[in-house]
Amino acid sequence: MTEILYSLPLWYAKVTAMLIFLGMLIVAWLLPYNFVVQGAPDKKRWRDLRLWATLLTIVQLFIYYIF
Amino acid sequence: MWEFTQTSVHWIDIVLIVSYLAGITVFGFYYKSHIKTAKDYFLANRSLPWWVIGLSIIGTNIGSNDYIGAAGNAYSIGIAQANFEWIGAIPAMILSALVFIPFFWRAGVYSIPEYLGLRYNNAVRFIAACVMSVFAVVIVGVFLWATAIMLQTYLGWPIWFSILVTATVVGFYTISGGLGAVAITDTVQTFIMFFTAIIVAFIGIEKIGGFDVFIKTLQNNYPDHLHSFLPANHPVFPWPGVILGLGIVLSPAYWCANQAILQRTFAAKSEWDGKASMMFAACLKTFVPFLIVMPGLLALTLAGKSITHQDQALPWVIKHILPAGISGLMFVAFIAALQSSIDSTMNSTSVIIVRDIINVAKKTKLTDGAQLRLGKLFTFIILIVGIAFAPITAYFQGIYVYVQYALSLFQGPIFALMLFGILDKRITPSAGLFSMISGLAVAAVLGWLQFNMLYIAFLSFVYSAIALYIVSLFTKRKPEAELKNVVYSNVVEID
Repeated sequence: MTEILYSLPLWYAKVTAMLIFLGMLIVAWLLPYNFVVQGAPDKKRWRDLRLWATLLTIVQLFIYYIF
Repeated sequence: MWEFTQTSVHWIDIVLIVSYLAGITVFGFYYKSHIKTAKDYFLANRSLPWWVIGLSIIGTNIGSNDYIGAAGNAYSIGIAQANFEWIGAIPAMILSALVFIPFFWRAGVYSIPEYLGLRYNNAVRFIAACVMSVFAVVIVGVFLWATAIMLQTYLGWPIWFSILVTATVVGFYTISGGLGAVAITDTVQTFIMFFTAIIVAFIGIEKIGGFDVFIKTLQNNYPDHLHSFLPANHPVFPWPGVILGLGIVLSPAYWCANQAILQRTFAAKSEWDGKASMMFAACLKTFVPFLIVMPGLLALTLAGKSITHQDQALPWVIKHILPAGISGLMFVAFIAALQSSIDSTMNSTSVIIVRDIINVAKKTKLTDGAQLRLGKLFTFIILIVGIAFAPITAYFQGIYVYVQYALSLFQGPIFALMLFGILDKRITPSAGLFSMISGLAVAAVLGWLQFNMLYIAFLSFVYSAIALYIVSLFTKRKPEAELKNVVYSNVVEID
């Protein structure tokens, strides 16, 4: 098991990290809209926190692509 | 240790440091008049907006170990240190904002153990509260000692005087102003940290000869320092450990179940503010490596490998790069990082002791006035115990690492209880109690077998998750009515 782990190239780590970010984004978009904006004082577009999660994920994917 | 010594600090730096200490005390004291009830003291009367909480979360999160340790690690291993701020934080913060915080807020809890009590039973609540409190008191002592060491090194103040000054300033606004004062001062402290980091990076890169030269120096001389992950056989940060242990268990356990971090989200003025505050903190977290990793990389490009110990990287930057005034500002940012961690730990621990230990142990419930009085009293007691414990840390090399290691033994099982308790109403109270106790035992055995800390967190989490489901098959579920606002399916049905 350890031998297999040690032989994996480093890009596996990058891809796994990116998949975790994408997985979390999918979880965010699977949540009902009403659940996400519950308690917001108005219905403005930026109150939808799934958009914040999308922006964050794009930035993180870009960072892990570079480094 | 006992005498004032002469140092070569510029008078501008001393004025900056003393002004900061005085200013933050007055600022926090202003909040004293706002405290009328236990809810005011522990939850700022649920009045905090999302941006204040977001900045406060980052202030609480960044401690002295981040500044010294992360800069040192960046000097040693490079940008891989930033994983603690990226893969080791942001996915968990999104999970916390969208899945965990709504339940805590709707359930109206003051603490994480209180939520565990609602979802499982008072035995789980009591055990979790005791473990969290013990760790928190030790950590206050470690933070006080770290601040005192800095004041001694930089200003020549004796250790005892440095501890007393730090404890008096933090104790004054935390005890008198409660969570409101803590959150507002944290916000100011976070501003100071970011502002200083930008100036330090600007001066450092200017000294190197510009951003292009900085990047080219790293690419040509230290190419390994620009990789985000380290090989699987790395002794400290193997990438499978970083992904499985840090990314999947330790990080969610911290961001979804750490009392000091989450207490301010319970104090949000609306459920949306609570969720948005954690999202905003995640946005800020993206740039935190700029604060704490950058100085290490600056030291590497300017000093090469001449620095003997990696923890000397940041002091080297302060001493050799920063002019008078800016080095004082950097020192203020240090103190701010420490104070924002000490005040949050004290305030959140007093909540746990009063509401989850004393209130659960007593047959008659505490009145609101009694909770307020005890909250202030225990904040003071935690500070006194922290002061008493601070010098002891000098006799244990790297005690903070041991504390973090011990805490990681507990985080796998408790996160399993939180995650599956929220997502699945079939999990029973007996399964929760069994999984927490046996999961802790499994983690201790793995520690005794000298497993890497990151793997212990992952394996103890997996064990606890399996135990939760197996024991739930043979034990009695909690009545549906008692799970209102506590389990995911029930909340969605309400909406």
